Amino acid sequence: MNQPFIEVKNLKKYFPIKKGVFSRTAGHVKAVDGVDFSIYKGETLGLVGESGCGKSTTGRLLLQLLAPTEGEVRYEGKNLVGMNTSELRKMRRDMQMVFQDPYASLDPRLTVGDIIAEPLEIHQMARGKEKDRRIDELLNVVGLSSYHAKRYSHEFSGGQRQRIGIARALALNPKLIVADEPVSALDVSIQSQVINLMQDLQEQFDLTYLFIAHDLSVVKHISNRIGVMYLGRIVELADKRELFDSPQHPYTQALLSAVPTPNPLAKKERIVLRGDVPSPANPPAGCTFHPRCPAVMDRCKTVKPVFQNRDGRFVACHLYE
Amino acid sequence: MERKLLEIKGLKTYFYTDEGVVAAVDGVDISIRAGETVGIVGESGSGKSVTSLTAMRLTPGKVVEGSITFDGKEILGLSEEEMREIRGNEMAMIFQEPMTSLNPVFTIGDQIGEAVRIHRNYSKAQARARAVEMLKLVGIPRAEQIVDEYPHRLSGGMRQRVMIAMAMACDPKLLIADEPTTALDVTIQAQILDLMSELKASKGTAILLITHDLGVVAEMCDRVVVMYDGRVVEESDVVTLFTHPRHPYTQGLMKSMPTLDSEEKRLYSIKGSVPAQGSLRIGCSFAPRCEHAMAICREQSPPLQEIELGHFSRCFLHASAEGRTGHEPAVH
Repeated sequence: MNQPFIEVKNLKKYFPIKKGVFSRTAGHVKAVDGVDFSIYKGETLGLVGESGCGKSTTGRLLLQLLAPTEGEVRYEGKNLVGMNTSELRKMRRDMQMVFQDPYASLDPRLTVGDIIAEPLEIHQMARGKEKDRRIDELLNVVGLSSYHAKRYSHEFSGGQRQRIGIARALALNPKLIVADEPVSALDVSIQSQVINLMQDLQEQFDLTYLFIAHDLSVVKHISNRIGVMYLGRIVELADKRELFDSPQHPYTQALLSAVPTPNPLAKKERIVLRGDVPSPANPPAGCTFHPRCPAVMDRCKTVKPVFQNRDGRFVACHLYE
Repeated sequence: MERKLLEIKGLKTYFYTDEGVVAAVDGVDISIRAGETVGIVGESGSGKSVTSLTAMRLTPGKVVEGSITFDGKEILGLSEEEMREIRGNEMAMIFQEPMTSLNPVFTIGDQIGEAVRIHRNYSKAQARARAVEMLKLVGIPRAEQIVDEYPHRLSGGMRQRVMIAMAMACDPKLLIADEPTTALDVTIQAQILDLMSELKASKGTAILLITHDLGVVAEMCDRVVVMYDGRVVEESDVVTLFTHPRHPYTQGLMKSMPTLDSEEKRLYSIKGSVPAQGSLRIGCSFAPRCEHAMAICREQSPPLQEIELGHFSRCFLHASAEGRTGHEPAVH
């Protein structure tokens, strides 16, 4: 494989927990705690995990919507961390985001045309007639019509709103799109329309996706490679087929077995994990998964496993050392 | 065949709004036998939640027509007082949002014990003991301590267990679960589904499970009812529904779902979107999105027909072809 398009190294984000009248820092929520991965041009990297595992924070750190506590994000070799605002603004043209909640991510006081035009204006990419033409074009690309530009977002259904969000993200001809749970708020029959649209656009505009979701079947469908996150770290990252055919990390195995299959005749062994995900403010020592792991060993309780490459697939588990 | 525990017949629940009448449930028949798990599947706005709320007599909408019998007794005519005797006692409900359906100012023990204090005249001490027993039953560790805690101390999965403990406190004959695992993570969902299956096996409780997740339906239900725009479009046992869905909507729904096993490059998708609430129904409401729509579909509403024993579908395709010959749309 060639040079990675995006390279993330030892990325960390700690949120301080403030207490008392003087807002003294009482501790940190380790939302993202040392994440390494690369994204290659034109591929879709899926990021899965349960709520609070840090997948959304990772997406935001990638776009520098949040400043990382530590680590590097390299975009075509250039480190984004520590760039000043005007440099970052230029970079952001290439990197856009599609949000989860199509009801909250569109300004209700703007027409759809204004919503899509906003990035064009900010980056001074188009004005006047040229801008209108571009709005038309974008609406058509995502399967809406030109006359929708005059309407307000509340007039649209969830699926249509997500199309508007995608049109806005495409306005600046980005190279990378971070999609944070783009279909999880949608009904099944609408979900497949949006997934198909995203795949068509990827082909048409040569886009690279970081696709964040908790629904494993959706992630499997759209991704080339998948990273599984647990408590702020990636525990396994592999080609999607390898990941689903032979998951290595005990957490991945449990996660895959927990997904209900829409086949009433399939009898499968489900690994039911004990307990809940521990708090990221006070993660367990050693491997953070050890209190719930069915294959726990003594070493797991004290030594943090290294995230290591074994023939292109990465696993952080003492079982494979 | 066992006796029917809950029987909903020709139910119509309408909402009278400023913008007009919304027929949220428009002629629905559903029955559940004792000990059976029946799933209602449908997308947002299909009327699945309103149907279940009407069965509990909790809907703000108006029941315009129909009957609901529970354990042989018509409940739509009961007084509020008589209904309270049944609700929480013989028929209980768990809701989707475990975060908002518990009262933050009462202890968990108070909330679980409330049902037995009201319905069984338990003393405070007895109710607390029952609460501890229920917490243990639903697998909450340190039940003796948790019983005196407030809901905010618990995680989402734990709260849903508490909700189940509350609903099961009076050993109801019927448990209505409205999207019980939708707000939960997959690994926690697996725990809750396991718990519900265990309770069903040990207590013989019938479950009406409302969900949009076909995977959950496949794992939990004996029989499935598919709803679309306020009506039942298909009903059958779970295996038949997944192996031989007959209504074009059910078929489309099955195909548009990405699964862990499939290797399809493109997903099938049903064109268009779910009809807006309160739009006027002329003909089959799925016709505008249906690949097989015929002239008649736009003029008349198809009846719900029994196309095979125990398999019902609401579509004109079956009428023209005597049910059996294949009308399976081409696989994409």
